[in-house]
Amino acid sequence: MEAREVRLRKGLGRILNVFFLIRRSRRAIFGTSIIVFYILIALFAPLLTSNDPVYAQNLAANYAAPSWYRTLTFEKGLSANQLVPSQTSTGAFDTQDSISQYTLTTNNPGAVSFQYSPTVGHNAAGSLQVNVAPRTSGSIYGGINFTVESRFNYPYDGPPGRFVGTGSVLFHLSGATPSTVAALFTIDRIGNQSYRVASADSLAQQPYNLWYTPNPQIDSLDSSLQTSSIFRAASQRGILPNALVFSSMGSYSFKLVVTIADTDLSQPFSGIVYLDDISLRLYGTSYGLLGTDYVGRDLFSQLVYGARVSLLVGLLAAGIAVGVGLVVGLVAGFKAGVLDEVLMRFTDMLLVLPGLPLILVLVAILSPSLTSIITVIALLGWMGFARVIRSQVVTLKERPFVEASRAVGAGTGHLIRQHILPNVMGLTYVSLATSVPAAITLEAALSFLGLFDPFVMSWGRMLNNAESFQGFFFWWWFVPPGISIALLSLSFILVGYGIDDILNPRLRQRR
Amino acid sequence: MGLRGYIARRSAYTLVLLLFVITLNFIIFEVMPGSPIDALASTGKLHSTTARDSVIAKFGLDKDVFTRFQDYVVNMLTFQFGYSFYTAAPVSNEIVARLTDTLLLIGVSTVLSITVGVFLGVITASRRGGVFDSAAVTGSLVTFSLPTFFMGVTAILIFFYYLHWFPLAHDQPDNWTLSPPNTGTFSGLVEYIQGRAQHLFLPVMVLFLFQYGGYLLLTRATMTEALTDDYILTSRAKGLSERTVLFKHALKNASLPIVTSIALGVGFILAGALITESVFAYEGMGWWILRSINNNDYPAMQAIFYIIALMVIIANFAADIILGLIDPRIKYG
Repeated sequence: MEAREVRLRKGLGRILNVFFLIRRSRRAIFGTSIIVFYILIALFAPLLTSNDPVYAQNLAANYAAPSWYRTLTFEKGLSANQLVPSQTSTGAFDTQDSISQYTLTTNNPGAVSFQYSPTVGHNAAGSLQVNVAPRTSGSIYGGINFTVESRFNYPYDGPPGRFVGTGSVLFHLSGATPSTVAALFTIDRIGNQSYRVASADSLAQQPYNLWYTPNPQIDSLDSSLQTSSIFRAASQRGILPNALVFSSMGSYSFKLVVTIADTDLSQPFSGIVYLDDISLRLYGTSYGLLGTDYVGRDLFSQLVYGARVSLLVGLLAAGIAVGVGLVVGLVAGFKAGVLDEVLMRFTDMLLVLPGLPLILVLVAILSPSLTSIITVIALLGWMGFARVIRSQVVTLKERPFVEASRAVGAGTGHLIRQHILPNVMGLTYVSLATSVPAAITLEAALSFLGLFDPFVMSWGRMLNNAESFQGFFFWWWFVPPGISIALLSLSFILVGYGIDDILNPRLRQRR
Repeated sequence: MGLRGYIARRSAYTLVLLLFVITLNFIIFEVMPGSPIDALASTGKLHSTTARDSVIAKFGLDKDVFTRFQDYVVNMLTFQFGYSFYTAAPVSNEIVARLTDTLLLIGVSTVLSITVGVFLGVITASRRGGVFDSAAVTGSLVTFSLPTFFMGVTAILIFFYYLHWFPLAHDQPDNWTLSPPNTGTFSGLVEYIQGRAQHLFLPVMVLFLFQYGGYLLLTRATMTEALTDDYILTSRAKGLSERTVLFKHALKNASLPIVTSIALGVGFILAGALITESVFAYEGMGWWILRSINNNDYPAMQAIFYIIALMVIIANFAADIILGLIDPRIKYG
């Protein structure tokens, strides 16, 4: 027990020693603080951002700018995400209160009444229930209609990047079949223009249990909407529906009009109409701290989660490589003869192979994943260090203190642990500090060339995306990952130089 | 054992090394997924099964593994690299065509980086601890850490997109494929050199920024050691000028590791500019290697891996000999 405690204290002491070493070099302190900064970012990534870097798409319009860009550069043309009505998620009418966000009107207040239905709903329970009593008055041809609309203020000079509207209707009609059952979705610039974005009639044939939802979807990127009669002319000139509808700031409304009519007053219809999901989503052209990429993913979250990948690959690959190099170097240096010869010749063979092309080929063979990238980088990165260690060990083992220790009967294990290893630890730290940035840049280069793990987002993959999808026109897309790769690599190099400066007294600054 | 014995032993060892590289090459491309025939078919050159069979026969893909390995080893040792799966042209022709472009690019950038790096390294070592030293070392560390692809796209963005100073890509103006300048006349020659230089500038700049830091730091480290030696004190005491002390006496002794590192850099010289070349679509060796990898072009890859290994071995060999010439203390054996 005690022996273990002593060993533990010794190990802890060694780690503390490294920190004391670092404290003596200004460069090393700077490097360490940057590394700690990125480690913290990597550890607390889920707290810094709630968006998944790979799978959370369409968080805003594609290629959105950072949201602070609008205030800072007075780019008033940028818009932000807006949800209509503002309180709803996609499941509108989930609570009784949500009805108050809509304006409900009808042409026949005597026959139509609105109430909340907590049980019926499209995806989740809860919907707006419209009771239609048998009609006693009104014109023959107009039938009855009712309107559910949500009014909102659009405060931006520029249009949203995209709008997507939803709405669903369920008809439970009884009595005679009406000649017309129609639903019409419009986005109105109040007091000015009304734009039909979806419509359907002859919904009387709709099966009893089937919700009607607009098909095709209400989506400004949908080609059928762009080529519909209202939007075709503008779309052909490059003005897409989102830009045409939201061409100025002001009051708007998203509106659903349901019309039920027949031609024969003697056979009245009645029933219940359920309405749900009536909401309009405006995708802002600005979002988050760093905007979005080509499919509307959060670039800030990609940057934050990318720190994890870089640190993981860098530390693991370099750790394994330095470990392998240390073992090979120790064995080859300590056990002269055939084993030394075999190990060193094998090292030479790996050293003459072209590094980057070989890594590319091997990662392609193993199919790119974090594991294969780390493995390949580690297994092709130990040779130089093994040679350095071997040359050190060869001279160390002839030193008097080793011979003295051997003379009093110390075994190989004891010699290595007590005399050789402590004397090459400095070199090991330096090598570790310079191998980590090499691994980080190598991973980034692989990802940049397209050999990335499809399940994780790394800085190199961000740059690859930027290159493939015109991202280089947006500095907030490619500069942060590029600078991060450089800064993190630089920090490790600085720490390595700091340790090197301190451990090599001959090189120490003469004052 | 003298120099001759050393060379003999080294040559035998080199042969073993080469056989190992050749074998490893064969194994790697044997287990690589994706049939080369599919790769060829995707280029639209195989229209019928007869065409397919004839291609399989042409490349010897119908033979068993051992026969192919035997053929392959013989071919490699006799420098017969066969035909590219991708372009169907002889691999050796392609390599020669790409090599000139790469040697131009890497040659210019390497000579530039060595000159500037070594010079700055000597200066910083002599003024250790000063403002210039800190600035130069920090600067070289920064450019050394910046990924080349990031520097490349930033350079393109600034100098091509915003400033329009330099062309975007390739190693020569695009319209030269139709009307190349007549290098026989003086004005044509000037136009040719100007066109090539414009296309060379950005990749050379990026590679220079990436490379010079390593030479600077290495020179600075070895120079610092050399400057503490007694003969420096002697030469200063003799009253030699500081320039003579630094560049004649100290640098000559400090240059051994630099020579070794240049030799080790030969592999990089041939293949390492892969990323820079692909960013600038500069059709050199690295660009060609990447295209070969992406198209499962096995003959091309086997040839280039073999050639690079061969070059690195020769360069290391040469470095050992050169070191012996520079430094009479080195004994072969």
